[in-house]
Amino acid sequence: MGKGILILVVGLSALISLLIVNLNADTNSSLDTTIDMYKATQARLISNSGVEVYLEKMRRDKTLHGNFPNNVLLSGKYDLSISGPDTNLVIISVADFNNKMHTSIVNAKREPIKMPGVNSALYISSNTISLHLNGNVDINGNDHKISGGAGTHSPLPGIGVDDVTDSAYVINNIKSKISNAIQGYGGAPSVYTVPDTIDWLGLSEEFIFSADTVLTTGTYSSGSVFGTTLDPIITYCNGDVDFTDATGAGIMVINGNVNLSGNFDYYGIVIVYGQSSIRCQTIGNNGIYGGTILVGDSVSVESQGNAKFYYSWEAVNLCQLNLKSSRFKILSWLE
Amino acid sequence: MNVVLDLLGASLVGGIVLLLIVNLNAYSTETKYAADADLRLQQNAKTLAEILNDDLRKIGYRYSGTAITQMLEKRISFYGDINNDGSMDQVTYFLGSKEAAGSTPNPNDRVLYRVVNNDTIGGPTLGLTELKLSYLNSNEQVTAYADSICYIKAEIWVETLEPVGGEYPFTYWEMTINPRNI
Repeated sequence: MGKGILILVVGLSALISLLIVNLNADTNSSLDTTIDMYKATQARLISNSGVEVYLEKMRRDKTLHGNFPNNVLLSGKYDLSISGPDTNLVIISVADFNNKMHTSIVNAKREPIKMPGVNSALYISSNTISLHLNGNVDINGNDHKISGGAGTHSPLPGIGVDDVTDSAYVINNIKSKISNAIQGYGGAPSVYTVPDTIDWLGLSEEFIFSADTVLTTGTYSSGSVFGTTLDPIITYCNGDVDFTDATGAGIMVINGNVNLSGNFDYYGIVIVYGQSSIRCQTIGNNGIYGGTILVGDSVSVESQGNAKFYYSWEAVNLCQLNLKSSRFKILSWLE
Repeated sequence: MNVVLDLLGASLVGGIVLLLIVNLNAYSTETKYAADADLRLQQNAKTLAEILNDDLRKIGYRYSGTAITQMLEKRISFYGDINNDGSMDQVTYFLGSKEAAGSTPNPNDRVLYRVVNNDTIGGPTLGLTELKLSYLNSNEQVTAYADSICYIKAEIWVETLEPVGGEYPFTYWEMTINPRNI
């Protein structure tokens, strides 16, 4: 009798277990369906995020190319490859999330840098201008080659300002020796009102976004190189800076005051801007070949020594051809 | 006498246990059937969502013009290189009639047609009973202009193919897709 009951109990238990396992099988399958969808979505998100992550890296490193495997993200991983020229970049991201794969293929192009039109060798845009030009300052709107010779492009004003009051102020407040040194369109003193509708603050922000080098307040002396004519760069100076014997090429955006001394040479465009007042001081044998733009509510220019502000179409064109922006246009995105 | 009483008692207990097992089995079968139907419902909804999701995300891929050419509640046509083979495809999705899905017990289900370059694929109904496509602009407001579409909201209603307890349980799936190429 005891044996019979045992068999009955074991049999019943087996039967009930079978029923429970059967019922659970559907629950598990249902859960699998949901999890599978989650995995697929997660793999897609990782793959797309991988592209976004590397677009951000490419913004900072303008020569970034190659294969970058095993990047961990969101509990999954992705392999990424970047190939092609800046005009047709191909970014392929293959994500793996718990063995669920997803591939995103993105075609993009790096947008060209938006260059401002240079309208004079030295352009001053301000409500209050203060000039203290001494020594052998040389402001020349005639076209100059980078090598130093005369260029072939049309001359621009030596100094460009926003309105006739400013041009009258400049002409009336410089010594006759300096007046003769402001060469360019129309002859000395070449000081003219120039049409200007550029949003310099907005444009500066664009350059800052694409900056290759960011400098903080400080003195940058001999040996400091901020681009060359073969490899110009965008330099952003956030604060007051002193350059002594430094060199550079490209576009330099200075948000603050600037002191140039020693033998500072720059080829390209220098934009000095500030929300309120800015001061541009030059001492020594400095040369800016390209265009210099000073924008602020109050602008003060002080020079001693042999400061040169030369217009150079070649230097400006060099920037146009070689500088890379940090903005991308997405041509297509397969996900 | 005691033996007879033992036998009677054992038969009674045995009978009750047997009845319980039969009941449990019937309940289990019913539950299993409902669970199976529910699982298939969920799997069908997921399959439909995956198909739509996969294709709608490719709207405008490698196409330079306005990719969406038809934007109705139950029909969408668009251009895109959906198989990434370098040639442009024209894809149309539309919901068929109830009559076209007459082979299933469910009287409400319909076939979702997928036409790629004039090649129509109907496939099984998968219990789809309703499809609603909404076209949203960058502010996620409904727009009537194809060139201002940024998002497509797809809503699907899916029922079981066979009745469960005399009814057709349904599920609702909603997804808002942001095709990156439009």
